[in-house]
Amino acid sequence: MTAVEHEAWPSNGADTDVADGAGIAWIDVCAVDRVIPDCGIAVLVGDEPVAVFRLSAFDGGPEEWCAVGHVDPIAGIPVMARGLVGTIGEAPLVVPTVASPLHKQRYNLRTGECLDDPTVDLPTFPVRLHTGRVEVGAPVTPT
Amino acid sequence: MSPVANTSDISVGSNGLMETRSATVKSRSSQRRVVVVGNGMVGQRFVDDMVERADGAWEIVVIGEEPIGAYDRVALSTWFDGASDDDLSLCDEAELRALGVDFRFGRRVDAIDRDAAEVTLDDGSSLTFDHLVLATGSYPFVPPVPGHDTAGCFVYRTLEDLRQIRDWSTTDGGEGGGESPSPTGVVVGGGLLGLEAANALQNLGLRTHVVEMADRLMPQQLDPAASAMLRRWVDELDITTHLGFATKEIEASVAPDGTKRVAGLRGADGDLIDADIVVFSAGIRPRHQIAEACGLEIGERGGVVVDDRCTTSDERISAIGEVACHGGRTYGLVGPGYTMARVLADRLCGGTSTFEGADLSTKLKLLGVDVASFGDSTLHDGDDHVVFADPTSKVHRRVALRDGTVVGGVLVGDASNYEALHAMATGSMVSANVAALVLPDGLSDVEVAELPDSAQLCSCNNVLRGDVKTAIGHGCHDLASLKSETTAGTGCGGCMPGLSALLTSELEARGVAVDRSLCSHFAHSRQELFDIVRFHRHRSWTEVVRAHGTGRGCEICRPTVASILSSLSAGYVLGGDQAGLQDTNDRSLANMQRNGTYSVIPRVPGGEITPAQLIELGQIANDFDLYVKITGGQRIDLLGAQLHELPAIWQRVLDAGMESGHAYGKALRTVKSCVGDTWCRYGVQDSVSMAIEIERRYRGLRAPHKLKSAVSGCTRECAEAQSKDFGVIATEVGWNLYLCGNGGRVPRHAELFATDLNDEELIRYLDRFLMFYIRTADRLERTAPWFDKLEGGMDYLRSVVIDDVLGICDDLEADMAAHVESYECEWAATLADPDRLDQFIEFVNAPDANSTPVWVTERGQRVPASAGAAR
Repeated sequence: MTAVEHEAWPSNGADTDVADGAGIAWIDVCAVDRVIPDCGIAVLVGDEPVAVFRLSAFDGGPEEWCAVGHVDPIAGIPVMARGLVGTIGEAPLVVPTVASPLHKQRYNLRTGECLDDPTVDLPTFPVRLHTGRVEVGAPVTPT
Repeated sequence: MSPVANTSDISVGSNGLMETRSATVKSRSSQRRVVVVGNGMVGQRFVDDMVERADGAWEIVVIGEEPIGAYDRVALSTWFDGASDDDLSLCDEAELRALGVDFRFGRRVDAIDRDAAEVTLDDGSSLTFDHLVLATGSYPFVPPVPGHDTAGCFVYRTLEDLRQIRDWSTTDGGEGGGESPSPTGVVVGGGLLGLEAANALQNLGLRTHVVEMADRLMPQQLDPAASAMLRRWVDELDITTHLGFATKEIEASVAPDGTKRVAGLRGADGDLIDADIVVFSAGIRPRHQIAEACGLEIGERGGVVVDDRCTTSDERISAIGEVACHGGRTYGLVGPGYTMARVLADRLCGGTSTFEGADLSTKLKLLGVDVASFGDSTLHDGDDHVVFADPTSKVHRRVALRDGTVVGGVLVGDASNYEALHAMATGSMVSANVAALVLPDGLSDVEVAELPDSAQLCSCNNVLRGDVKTAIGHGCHDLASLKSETTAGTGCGGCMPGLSALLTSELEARGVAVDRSLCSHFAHSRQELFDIVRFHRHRSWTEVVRAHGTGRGCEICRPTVASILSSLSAGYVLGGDQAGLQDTNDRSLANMQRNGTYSVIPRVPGGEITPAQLIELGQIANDFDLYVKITGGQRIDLLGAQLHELPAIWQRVLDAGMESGHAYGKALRTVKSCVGDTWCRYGVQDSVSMAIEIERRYRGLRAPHKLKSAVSGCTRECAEAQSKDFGVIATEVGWNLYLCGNGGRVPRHAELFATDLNDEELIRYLDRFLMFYIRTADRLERTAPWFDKLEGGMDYLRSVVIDDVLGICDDLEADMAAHVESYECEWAATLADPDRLDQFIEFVNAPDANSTPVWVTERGQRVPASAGAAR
């Protein structure tokens, strides 16, 4: 994938069907049950490693799915899916995070922003659930 | 087994150090000798100050009459409440000897030869001095009434006195009071010391009386109204007081064999008080006899006369503490004595400080009652008094004003605002709001103006609030470090609440969080959370966070809860919803390296490995192109495995009869050992077998931090057990156990916990110790910093683990038994379950694709390219 300036993709509730907007290709990566709640998995979207997170519901809110780049932008090593997830902030502004397993920098899973180092961030990808499958959206680069 | 009784037993390990250091000190040719006569609280403080200040310029010799070093006489009555000699000890004899201090206990100075600058000891030996310090203290005054030396009459001054009182009252006294339910003890003297002695007798279970010649208790400190209020407290404690009672004679009973023993006290007016034991506590007198004999000037009412430098009428002789008479008076409080010790040490080290008299203000808990007097506490005509007196709550508070300024007062039953009132009476704070300050705690909501930095916080050590604030500013953010830095709170301990409050308010003012919450998701400390999980028998993260936390947790609380669940034997660490809690290493059951690959470290219990296992590990490394390194813990580290390779590698490790080494977990790592008496010519026990037994027992035990151990087969200590969280060293008859050491960034020697344990005792104490640590430590806190925070140190730890003072040892052992019972090799469990193996597929939607780290070759092995490139 080329170095596209990613916009912040809104992550989607389980059954929300986002219209296949122009420029997004949905790629089936695995069954919903394959992803353990609050654990990441790594998938290949094209040849780009992507980390997909299933964030369990709490306080009556919905389950949430997020996808970000799998490569730790500081070390250049593909490990983000093996990071610990968490939350920061107080209701109603609770933000899901993942901490790099290498040196623990935390990233906002919704925006990809690094909370501990403003000079780096992770690319983000849209995720949707479709007939029991997890699909990750990849921007279609105009040729 | 014999738990170590006192610090002097521990000197073996530090002998080498001791000799080296004292040799260095003694090699200084210019060194002068100071001889300290007396090793009471003040004498000891002088030694401590000198060791800190003198930098080897003075050789220090201490002559102490008692068989042991200085102890806390102020807290003497706690001895009957369970405090041990060690608890009361103030003299770190082993360390001070190591620093060159020459202690001669059980010796007395009989004479001083001023011309020869020499003292003669009671064994006939003599010792020259460049400077002589008299710190002989005082002796209890026994009124010369007939019968005062009858068997059953005691004084209350030393630990030996306490032992005699206890022995008499538990054996002889019991017989003497045959028909009465419990023996009767009578204290002669209703002053401060007398009431302390009464407290001690009360603690011994005696029916206790106090007789006082004056018309009230504590006549020297309290006015009649305040004293009457104190008497209400004393009455309530079932201590019978006899005021205005002049003892005329001690009456004795005579047994058929002619031996006499105390039977009672006869008063001047003929009244008789029955007694099985009599304790004289009618005041103290300075022990100035040897000074007097050599011609030093003695004060009118006793004591060796000293000037502001604590120097006597002989320039080479000083006197400090209760034996010193300064400005015509002697001081019976430890605070002024400590100040004299500091002044004298300063002067001998070239300083110019002076002792200008001391204020006799005190605040203490007497018989559990707060009693304080400050400034000029006696009643004077013409003074105004603001008084609060409430007989129902037994509180009496009086503050004297002269021309509108606070000059002194007394507080009984409630000593709140003492610090502010004391500061006003001593002029370090302007008198204001006096009426509000006189009201007891809870009745006044007037905010006390902030005390000035010059106000005294600790009267024993004369530590000012400003001193404490400075120390907090220098990073002392807990009570333990604050105490050791400032010495506040190390005397009677009465200022501890004030110290704690000042610490909290200062930290808040500085914006330092005093919140012990684990993180924003749990309002509990790790210890609280552990107790909660244990109590509710939670078995999953979801249960814990739903019931006690908020949100989804974070990278702090999730691994902490995972560790707690594991410590409480909640099963497979990646089972249930625990997988998502584990930190990276636990999640993949391997340590992630800098390039995203992992290390594989099988368990090698005790460092013992068969040739076949060693060959197979080499073969595995060859087949997977893994870098091989011998670890510091007698194991073998195979590095460079990719996530998807881990199951195949571990399958081969397991097939070779080995198992997970938990190198990835906050858990027991290794138990090193030397070869022991199986091979070694010097070994006295089988250290390998013991190391293997320990490692097998505690393998997989999850803890707040990693745990390391070692077992040495003799005192040569080849396994380096004293640098471990728990280390075991063989003796001729068993094992010595050392606890709470570590290597790493801040190395720490483990401390001797118990000696000559047999195998069962060793394992039992280890079970209890480890579970107590796991239960109470903070997250990521190793045993050494955890130990530092235990109030009471090693004695306390012994009392918990050996004597079970908390009554939790059954629980601790049960928790450990559950761990041992439920242990399974995490890799065996993982390999047995195809679903779990899914976690080791790198890309879920492309099982055959794997990322490819870049490697280079260094010294014949494969290493990450980034590391090679960086060089």
